[in-house]
Amino acid sequence: MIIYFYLQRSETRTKRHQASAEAYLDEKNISPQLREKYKQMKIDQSSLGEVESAYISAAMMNKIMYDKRQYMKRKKDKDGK
Amino acid sequence: MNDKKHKNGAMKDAYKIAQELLKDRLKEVNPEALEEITSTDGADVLVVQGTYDFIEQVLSLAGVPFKLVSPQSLSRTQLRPDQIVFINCPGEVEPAGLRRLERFVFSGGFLFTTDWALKHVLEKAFPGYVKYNQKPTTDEVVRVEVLDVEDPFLKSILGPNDDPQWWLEGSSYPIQIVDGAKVHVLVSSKEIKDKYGESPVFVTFD
Repeated sequence: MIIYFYLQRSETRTKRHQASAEAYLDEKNISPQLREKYKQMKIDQSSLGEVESAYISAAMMNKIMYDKRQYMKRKKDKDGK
Repeated sequence: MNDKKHKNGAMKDAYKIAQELLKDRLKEVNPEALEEITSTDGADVLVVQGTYDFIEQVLSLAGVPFKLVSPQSLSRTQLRPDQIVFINCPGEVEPAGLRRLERFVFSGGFLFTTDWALKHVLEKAFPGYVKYNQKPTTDEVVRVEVLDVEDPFLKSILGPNDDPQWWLEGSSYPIQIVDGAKVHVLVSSKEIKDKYGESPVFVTFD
């Protein structure tokens, strides 16, 4: 499989994008117990737009890693039969 | 600190937070996928160094181990079908390296390229799927749309409010699909389509 994409940067275009990334934790339903970890990571110094862009980019890369693992499992099963 | 450095630093912090968010989300809704991803070891991922893109930084921030090689040494590097090879822009790989990549993909390997590698790697080693449309972009950020929302993995981590932006570095190469039946578009952009005539941002093909 061949994958092609552009690397990622962000821009804060809308009021939503300009908001603190803490608002993104609300959108992702992050529990109050986990929020302390993100405070330690200084999430309040990032914008929602920056974290959202990084999240989508990281999600696509993780999807490829996951797909590859699944592909190798299927291939191993097929070859083993 | 200049603006560019500030933006790079801000995006590094954003990537750290984003990766943690992904892990927390997957732990909750798809722990099996999280285990699969985090069990990747350094021998599974090979990164070909670039001049303009640095995907190794993103992998490092994501905690994914990798081996870094130069474009020139690719022809002497042993590739296994169970690996993923990332090629950073510009991807100026020598002909012998391109032939090695062809064999790697045809034997089941995953190849992941960025920006100018479209012309330098994909058009040369895998002709007939995608090509550069000869309309370089300016340095700008555009809105993108994730099309593959029914993909089980993406469905578990993306939300209805997500409204991502994407960076087109100056002189990025828009992707023209040559074989629409074989190329699958996962992310596209109406803005890129309006400005440069092509909408794909993230594509895959077998």
